[in-house]
Amino acid sequence: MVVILDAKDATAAKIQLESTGETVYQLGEVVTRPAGAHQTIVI
Amino acid sequence: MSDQISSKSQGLSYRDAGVDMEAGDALVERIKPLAKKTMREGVLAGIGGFGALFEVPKRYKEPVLVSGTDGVGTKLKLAFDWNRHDTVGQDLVAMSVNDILVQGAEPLFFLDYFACGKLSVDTAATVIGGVALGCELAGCALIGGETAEMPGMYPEGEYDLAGFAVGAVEKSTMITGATIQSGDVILSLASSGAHLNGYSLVRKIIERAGAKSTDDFHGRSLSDVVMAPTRIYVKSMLALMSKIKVKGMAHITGGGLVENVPRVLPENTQAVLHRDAWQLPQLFQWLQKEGGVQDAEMHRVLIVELVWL
Repeated sequence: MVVILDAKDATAAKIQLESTGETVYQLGEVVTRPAGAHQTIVI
Repeated sequence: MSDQISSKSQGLSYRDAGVDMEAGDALVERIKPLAKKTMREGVLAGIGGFGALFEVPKRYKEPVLVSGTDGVGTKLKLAFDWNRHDTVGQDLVAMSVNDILVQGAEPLFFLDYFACGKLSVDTAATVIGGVALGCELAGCALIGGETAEMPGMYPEGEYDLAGFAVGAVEKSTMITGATIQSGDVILSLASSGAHLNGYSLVRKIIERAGAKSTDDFHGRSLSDVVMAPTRIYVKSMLALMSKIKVKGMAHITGGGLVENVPRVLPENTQAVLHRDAWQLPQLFQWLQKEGGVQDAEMHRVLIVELVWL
């Protein structure tokens, strides 16, 4: 499951999710899409 | 000829045709207490009626109904081969409730469809017990379903499963991804295993490795690891959404991150994911090694590495 939220909320969200038993990774971030680029890239 | 006449004179029953209605009735009695445990606010009438009745909770001001349907796929083949039927029911529920969850919906009720050639009450009750457990984990009512015994339609010992979830979300809090913008953060919640993804490849690798369900896998049986039921994220995510604004969610199923994350992104945005942000599970490492799957092929297919989250 992937969750996207405002950067200012990320830490609180991670703490909240972990408090309910989830293991959470910060997977990446959203950027402005370069022209012609794929919408998801893995680096 | 006289034998044929004698045989015909005896007449045929539905049981002679392969349908055991008593077994069906026995299954219903086994299911009822399981379904009862899932009852919740809104259920007006559940199993037993021609249709199930559900009243959308009045706390919703402008409820939008969100629905989803799915099956279990080829993980069922392992359930048959390993006689392991206790987890696929939860898998079934997870697929639909996790799908509707990503739009912000609270799952309200679920219906299942179990189809087989010859009904084994014990097997079906085990499968539907998993469905009921999945509904409990998702907080939705198992409000109805269908068990179809259809002689000749499925090989002996096999069955198919489908399910349907309906949920509700307040119109003003629907999650559409429309507000996602540059600078937003992408979190992922760990899976319980392979969920339902890539099982045609998983089965092929297990076959090539000559592995058995009882083989030890880091202190657990291979069966326990491979058949681990799909994680249901409903309660943890609803708790999060009640406190923090979530802009977008993606249920990572077939196609992995690369195909599923864009489904919630605005056209002018791009998700940049960092490969070192997640740990490669032991099962995946084993599958890659035993299958001799090259990195390039893994990355091309994606369905293994990028769905383990």
